[in-house]
Amino acid sequence: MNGFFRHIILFLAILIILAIGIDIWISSHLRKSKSYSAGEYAVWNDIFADRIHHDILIYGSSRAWVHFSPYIIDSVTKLSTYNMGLDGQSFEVQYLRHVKIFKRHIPKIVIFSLDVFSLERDTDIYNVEQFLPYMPDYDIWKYTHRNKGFTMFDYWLPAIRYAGRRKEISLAISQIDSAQTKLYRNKGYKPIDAYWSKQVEENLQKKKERYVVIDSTLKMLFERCVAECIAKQVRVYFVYSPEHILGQKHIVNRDSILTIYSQIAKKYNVRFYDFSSEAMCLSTKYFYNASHLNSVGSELFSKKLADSLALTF
Amino acid sequence: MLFNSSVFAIFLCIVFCLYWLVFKQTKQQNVLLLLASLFFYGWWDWRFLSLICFSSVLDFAIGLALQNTQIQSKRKWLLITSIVVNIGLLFTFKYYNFFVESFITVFQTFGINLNIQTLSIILPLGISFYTFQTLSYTIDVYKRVFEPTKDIIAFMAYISFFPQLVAGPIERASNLLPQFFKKRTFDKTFALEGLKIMLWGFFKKIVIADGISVLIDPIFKSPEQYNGATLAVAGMLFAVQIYADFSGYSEIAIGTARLFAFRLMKNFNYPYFASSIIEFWKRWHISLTSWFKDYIYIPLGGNRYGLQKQIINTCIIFIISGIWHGANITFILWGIAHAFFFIPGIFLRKKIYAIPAFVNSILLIGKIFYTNCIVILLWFLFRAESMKDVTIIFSKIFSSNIFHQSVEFPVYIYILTCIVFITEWFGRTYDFAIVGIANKAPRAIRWGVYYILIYTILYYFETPLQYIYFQF
Repeated sequence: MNGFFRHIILFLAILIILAIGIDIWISSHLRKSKSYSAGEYAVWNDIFADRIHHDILIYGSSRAWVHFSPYIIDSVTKLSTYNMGLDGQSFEVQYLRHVKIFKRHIPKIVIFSLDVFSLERDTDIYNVEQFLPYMPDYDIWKYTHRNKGFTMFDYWLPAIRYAGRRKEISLAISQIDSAQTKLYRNKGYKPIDAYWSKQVEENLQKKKERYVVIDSTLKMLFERCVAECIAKQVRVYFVYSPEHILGQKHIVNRDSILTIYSQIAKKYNVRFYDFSSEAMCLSTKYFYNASHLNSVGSELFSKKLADSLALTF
Repeated sequence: MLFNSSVFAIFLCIVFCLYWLVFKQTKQQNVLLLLASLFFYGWWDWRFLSLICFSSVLDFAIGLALQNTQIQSKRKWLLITSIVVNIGLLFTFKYYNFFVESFITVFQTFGINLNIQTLSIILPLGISFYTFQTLSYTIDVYKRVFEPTKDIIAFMAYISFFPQLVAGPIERASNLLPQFFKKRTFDKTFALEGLKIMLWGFFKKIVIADGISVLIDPIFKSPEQYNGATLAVAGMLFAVQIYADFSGYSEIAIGTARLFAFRLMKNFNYPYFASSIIEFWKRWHISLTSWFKDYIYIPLGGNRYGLQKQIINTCIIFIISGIWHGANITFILWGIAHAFFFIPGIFLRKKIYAIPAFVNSILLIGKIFYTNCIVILLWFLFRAESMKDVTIIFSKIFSSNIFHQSVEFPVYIYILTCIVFITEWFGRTYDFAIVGIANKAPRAIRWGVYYILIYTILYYFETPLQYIYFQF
């Protein structure tokens, strides 16, 4: 029996050493990808490599990363800005980014980009591929382990999380010479050069009205995040960026969601800018769909926001 | 619980350590195996544990009753009770809807509309396998070839032994049950061989079978959308898939059992290297084929009452085999078609004249090729989802449609399939090719190959897919 265990332990030890090597190799190459997984690797790399020392951080979902131009805000406010928006994520994963960044750097200002879906509990985590190269990490485990596709083995055993992920492995191989690839996101920001089309309009017409169920734990987490910022002497702003008028109609309880944000803003004495009733929300030329501004719209909005912010300094 | 899941890996490690390090007495080990097996089965659906327990207790009691009575008529009634109850359960869960629907269809053709309700019945996992296993015990006790056991724990552990519970091999009491009474000593070589067999099984299941499944399932879902050439290639790939899936499962089961010092019967003996349909059936799903032979074919008279009776008995076995595989007319036709190609072999068995060795080799390759053509062709009946699909597939394959350009399947699947068959060809003289070949190589090469196999499995491992034979 002892001989058997010795044999197995030796075999597994070599297997694990090989797995660690494979894991490190795949992870380090996958991280180089600038556009895969909505370009999130670039932001995670900046966080893990401690490259974010900016004065202003923008938190939020996809509406954050396509709406807030750090370059415009930088130029107007003279404060360095980084956009930490995450595509398609509820506040849980947004909070994960907050946790990771606050362990390394405390900014002067945090802008919360608000939307109607961030406080809604999603059935599964979207775009989980973004976590793969960084997974052996307690915080990442804490905020992503509910994802149905992940097991404990994925977090704590080398290479297991890449099992069956042929696309990511191929991508890692193709990144061996990736220096020439153009950066997909700059300081976390991604302007979208797309325009409102007939298809968008048709889809909007077909879209049914929806009631967004606010998750109480996410609401608490949001509030906790605001409180943590305040406690660290960080100035907080709430911003509801422009949303096309046609898209606003589809969420039955939109007003009550905005009231929740208003109440939190009032409780913590946070300035709340609501751009969803601005004139630009009536024009389709600034949007590529009902809730997302295109590059023209985002630049205009960023300018407006930066001017408003500058007035408060 | 699927073999190809992380839960099973944890489960196996825990049971293995408890079995060898904590519970060292045979009786304690039997209790552990029984509890582990029930847990393994209950993980899928605990409600059906009652069914397996009921079957086991019933046949255990009937076994004892058979021993305690010498009156032949009473013994016969006890055997009939066991058969009726076990087959009754199998019929209810597996065939009730099929027969009711067939009954309604037949009456509808005569213009009579029957209003009989079908039921929404879940097929309990492995019911066809453990029902046959428990039946073999009662029949052997009835025929006095086997002494019934008085140890209900050992008996239940034998029926529900987790490595082979859900898809066989269908073990005979005479082979497996005595192993539950022997003192088990840990044999390092035997256990390591078990791991090698498991590894090869996982490779076949995850890399080959699951890899092919993703490619061909959409084709068999809507065969009308594909041309004859694509369907023909899909059929060949299905032949590889079903072999890799089922023999892979059997090998994982056999390897797992070896970790607990149990020797299960071999279920596959390189069936695609068979040179005739008769030989194919001696090599494919051996535990089921031999079960049919011992408990149906021979009691029916086998080949003892002339050629005509032998042919009838052969047809009966193949029809039952078809029905066993599933409640669908396609399976029955698959059985009948195999009988059709099997029976001429009975006439051609005797070697008429001696031929030179090199001619014999060429002939052998030709025979293997012919046999595989037949087998692959008949797999279409097995895989097609309805008779309508069978008609579509055959009408496209046996027409000029076959000469159209086939859909391109990824090259890696052909390469990996070749690796499996080349390995098995060179290791065909051994029970398990991987063990036979590996034992010849130095450790560094051997381990290198195992690591490559493991990482290839991980590379291709996606969402665990069910084994094809779970549905039977």
